[in-house]
Amino acid sequence: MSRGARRNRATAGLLALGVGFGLAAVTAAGAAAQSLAPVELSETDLYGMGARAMGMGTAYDAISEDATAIFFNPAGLAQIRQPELSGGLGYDRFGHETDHTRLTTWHDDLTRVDHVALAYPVPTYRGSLVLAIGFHRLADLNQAFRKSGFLIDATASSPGLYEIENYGRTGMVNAWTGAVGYDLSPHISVGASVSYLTGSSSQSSLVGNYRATVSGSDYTLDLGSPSNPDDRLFEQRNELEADLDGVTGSFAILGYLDSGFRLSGVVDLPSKLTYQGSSRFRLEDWEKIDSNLDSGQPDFFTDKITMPFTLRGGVSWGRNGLLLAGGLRWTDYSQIDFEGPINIPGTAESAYRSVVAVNLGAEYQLPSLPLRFRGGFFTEPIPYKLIAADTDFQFVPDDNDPNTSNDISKVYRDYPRADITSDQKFLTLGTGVLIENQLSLDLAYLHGWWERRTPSGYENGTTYYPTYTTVEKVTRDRFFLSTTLHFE
Amino acid sequence: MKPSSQLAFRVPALVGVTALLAGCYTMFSHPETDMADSFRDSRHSDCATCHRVGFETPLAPDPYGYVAFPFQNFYTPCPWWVDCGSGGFIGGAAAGGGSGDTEAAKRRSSVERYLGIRGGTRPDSQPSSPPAAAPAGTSTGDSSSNPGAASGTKEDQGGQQSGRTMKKDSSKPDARDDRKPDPNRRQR
Repeated sequence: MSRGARRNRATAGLLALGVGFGLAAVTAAGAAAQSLAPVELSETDLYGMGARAMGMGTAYDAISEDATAIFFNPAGLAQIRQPELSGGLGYDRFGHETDHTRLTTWHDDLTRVDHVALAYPVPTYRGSLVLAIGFHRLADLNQAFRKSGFLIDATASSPGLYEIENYGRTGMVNAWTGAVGYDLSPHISVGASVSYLTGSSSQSSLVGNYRATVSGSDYTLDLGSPSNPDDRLFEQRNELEADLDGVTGSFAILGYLDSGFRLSGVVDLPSKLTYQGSSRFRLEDWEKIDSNLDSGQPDFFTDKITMPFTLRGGVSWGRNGLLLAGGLRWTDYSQIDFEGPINIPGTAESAYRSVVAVNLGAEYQLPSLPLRFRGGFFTEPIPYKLIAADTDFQFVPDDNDPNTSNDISKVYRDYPRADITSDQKFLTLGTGVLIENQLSLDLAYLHGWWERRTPSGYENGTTYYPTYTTVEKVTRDRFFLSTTLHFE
Repeated sequence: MKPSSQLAFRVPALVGVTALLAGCYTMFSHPETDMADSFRDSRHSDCATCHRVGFETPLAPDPYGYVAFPFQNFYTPCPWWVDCGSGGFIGGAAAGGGSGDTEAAKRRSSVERYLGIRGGTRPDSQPSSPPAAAPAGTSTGDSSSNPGAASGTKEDQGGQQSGRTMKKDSSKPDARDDRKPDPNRRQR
């Protein structure tokens, strides 16, 4: 069969895409029995809520004395004594550096509504009962990965091999939450929340190895042709759009000690997510093009993901205007169920690990001015054990039967264990002002970073080019602006 | 069944059982009792007579450090359904200043807010039960008249009767201008 488009034969190629940074794309064509790439789910990337909490390093579980308690600790709602409306914006600047054959950098930024929440204390004779509803961003799905450069240098006498990879994902998991806080005793409040999850995910990827031919002071890239074949060359594109819905909830407790301590415990129930969407694919080699991207019907898919339980514990202490808080959050991400476990290729071991996040924060109120300042630090360990490393390609000749799909070429990728040289952590700063004793305005800034690389001794599985070390560095700068209004 | 699934059932069950064992602390209105019915008149509009304990000594001063700070009204406010008077606190002590912002005023504010806003008292300071009937004549009809009589007399509570009343009660004939803290409430 001559080189040309062959529609609707995307299944194997789509699965073989194996971009480690995406998610549902790799199972979009689901039924095929090829090995799935151990996808890295950005659903694990919690977004946070409210400038006060974020400025305190998210160490807010044991404070939770405003409407953001619907996310941090619903039991804390029981502390609210006036109807309260809270809202906020978030600005996120994302920076990604990939050092493979050379350093490639990428930045993106986005401004979004962080949350809107309303709390209503029910009049009581004794104790407290507070109801709340709200909308907030539960998880940030934005991801990016870019790299390009010469896998094999080009010379005037010999063409080189040039790689390009662009992957981007945008989207959010939004939570529409109803919550209740209730005084169980003078010193104990309990709470619960249930959240309906909505959102969308949009992914686009391009990965290819091109022939680079020196042309004067520049070079040209191509994918070969029947008259000039090269089995190393390919270009694969993938587009995916999906909507999601799901449900989750939490149970919480908050204890009050006369010494000024508050102690908290929260159980976040598993998040059940269902993605429904469509994907399109295009794989080109020197001989043929398999595609439903340019025309034809997309592949429709439904993927179900279950994120595991999370257990949280925290403590806070306040005196003389100083408020200190800390907490731990444990999640065993190895229990992620993405149409089954996500395992390291060739093993029964999960590609995810159990992590414990630590958060610490402090806030100081000026005694004479309605101002307060805060700072914090928290860790968000990367739950993914692996790193997407070098790609490989298997050229499969056309069998000249338009009704078969087993002659689609295959793209592979190595997934060695990552050497996490700097796990994800954030430093936070914040300030707040009180206006007319009824309106609080808060601002927070977060700076986060992490770094990982392919392990020493890693050898790729391709014969087309030597092994390269992959180093990923990510920085995140986030601003939160929130306001809280009390109604008398 | 996977451990996570087991936990999904056990955690809510545990919380529910705990709630049942703890009883119903939070109440939307005063429980209907013979004593309450007997003393529901204009002289007994607040709780201080029946519920004496907790009015004489502070249980703890401002446990979270908001006293005398500008944000104290924001995070430890008067419940919206309670008339707390000026300043939002029992006794009208405004936050963070004013001519009455003496150490004594701060302390009084802290104590009164602790007692009057947040629900409940410490376990060792629960209201005596059952409350005794008020001796005749102890209610003077002044600003500290109370229903029912309690384990303490009027004189026992003197000087501490600057609490609050339920706004809902303000429409009742027995509503009064002076306010007393609900002894079953305390501020966190």
